[in-house]
Amino acid sequence: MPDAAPPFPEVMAWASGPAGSAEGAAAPSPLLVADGLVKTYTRRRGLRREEVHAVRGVSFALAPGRVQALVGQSGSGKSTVAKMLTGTERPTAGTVTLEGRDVTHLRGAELRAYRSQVQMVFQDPFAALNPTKSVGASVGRPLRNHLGLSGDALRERVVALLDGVGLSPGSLYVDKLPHQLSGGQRQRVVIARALAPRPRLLIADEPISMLDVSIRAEILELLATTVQERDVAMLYITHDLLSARLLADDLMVMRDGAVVEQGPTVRVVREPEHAYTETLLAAVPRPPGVVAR
Amino acid sequence: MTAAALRPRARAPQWFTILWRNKKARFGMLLLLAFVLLALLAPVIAPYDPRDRSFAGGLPPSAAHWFGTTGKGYDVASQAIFGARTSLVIGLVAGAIATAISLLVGMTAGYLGGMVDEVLSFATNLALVVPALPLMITLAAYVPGGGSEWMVIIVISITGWAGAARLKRAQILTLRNREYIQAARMAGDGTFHVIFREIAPNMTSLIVVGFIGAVGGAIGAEAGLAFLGIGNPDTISWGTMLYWANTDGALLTGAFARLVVPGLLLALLTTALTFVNFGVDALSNPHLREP
Repeated sequence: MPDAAPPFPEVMAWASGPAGSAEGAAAPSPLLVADGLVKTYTRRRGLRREEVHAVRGVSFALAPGRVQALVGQSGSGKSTVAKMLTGTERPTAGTVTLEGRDVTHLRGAELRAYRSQVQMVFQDPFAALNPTKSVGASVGRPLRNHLGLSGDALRERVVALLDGVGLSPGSLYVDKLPHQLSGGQRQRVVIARALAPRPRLLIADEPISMLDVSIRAEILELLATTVQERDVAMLYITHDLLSARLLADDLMVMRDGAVVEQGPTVRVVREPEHAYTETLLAAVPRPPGVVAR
Repeated sequence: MTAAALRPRARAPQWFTILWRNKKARFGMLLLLAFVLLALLAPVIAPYDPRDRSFAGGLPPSAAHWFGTTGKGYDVASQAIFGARTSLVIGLVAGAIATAISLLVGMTAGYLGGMVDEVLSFATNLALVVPALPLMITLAAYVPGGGSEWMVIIVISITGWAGAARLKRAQILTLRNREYIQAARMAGDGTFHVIFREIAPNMTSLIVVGFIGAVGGAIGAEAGLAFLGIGNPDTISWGTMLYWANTDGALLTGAFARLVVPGLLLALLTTALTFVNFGVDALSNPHLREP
């Protein structure tokens, strides 16, 4: 493998799997395909109507067991893309298909069923958990709604899920309220809740940007093992190229609502084609003495 | 630990513990309990029947009549004790109705937004700008069945919900876009569940504070209406006691007890409600809970 020394070898050790195998493995058939997504908001400013082009024609495919990173600065339309995938926002144009089925305009019960397949890990673990509900209640809702579990079976599944995200023993955490947990523990709860309905696609919207630097690697590792063990597809949204480089098999760069560069992570990072990608790469902090890339 | 940790928590005693730990709330609850006992045990505690007018009129306070008698020969103490019933019942019922209206209007307007919000907000603002007391007097004078307790309750409720509705609408506007609400939708929760199980618990203190405030307001409004002679002056309540004290010229004759007793009871009851409210904040704000 003609790879130069990675920036942080000890962090890279576990991540070498996905990043290294990116070019070798044949891409599996896609789970979800986004085709030409466009989102235009209209806002009133005084008497004039003003169109805001949040997303202008974004296409990509997500495959099981692979991580697709979506990199861009604030306001580039990353989160709007995520909302269109979860059915929270309706695209102005374009389609989303899940295994060949058009899921762009689902409503009611169909939307609910679709959402058991597509789950989200939120950015702010302090805002993503209801402060008045226990960990068990939060993680249990999707089990109750999507899988129809209740009683002891529900509780067992919740405990198993918490164990699975590194909150063990899970029984110790079930009755805790969010304010009794640290930021990293909360994010693990959020991940457990997202995994609860056994989704096929995880959308992680800047899952580590609000966390302490010391626990970011742990959460990234948890996400990486989740993708591999459960064979889910993941859309990893971030403004941080370094974490995308560590986690993602494929990478696309967004700017002002459009994708400016798209391809296998290793290729994009080594031979960026677009000037904006180079700017982002130059912004990755590199301690002196460490050989670049 | 293990066995207890595996069982779901009992919810009901928890809120009580939180309230009880707060010294102000404890004081308020004990005072309130005293009033409730006073109302429930009125026939036991009161020395005479409040409608017994066989005594001499205008007696000064004595061992037989703790606070004297009225100009018509009623026992003031017995009337004050039975008056607690009227104030508590009208306060609770009118407060509950006003809170229910404000919840329905405020939550619906705030959560649904759009045209529904426009219409409901207009109605709320209209109810806010109409001066409450003249409206109450007009309604009390023209609504059929004038003088009955139900009429008083209805008049108080429909003039007292608007401010609380606006508060609830504002609160739900800040809560409905939180990430955990989005997460609840992702978890498959429906609109009803989201409003009343995800959002409402985070508004507990606002709802309960609003309710207790509405009860206090209703008690005051009932006393105010009765004092003005609107409604049935034969009802036994603190307001009618003040009304009769006023018409009998109690101040001129030096029968201060006839004014001070119902006035002080009204003030104490409102104070009790206010103190309970201090503790309610800790319910919806878990940060305040830790002992």
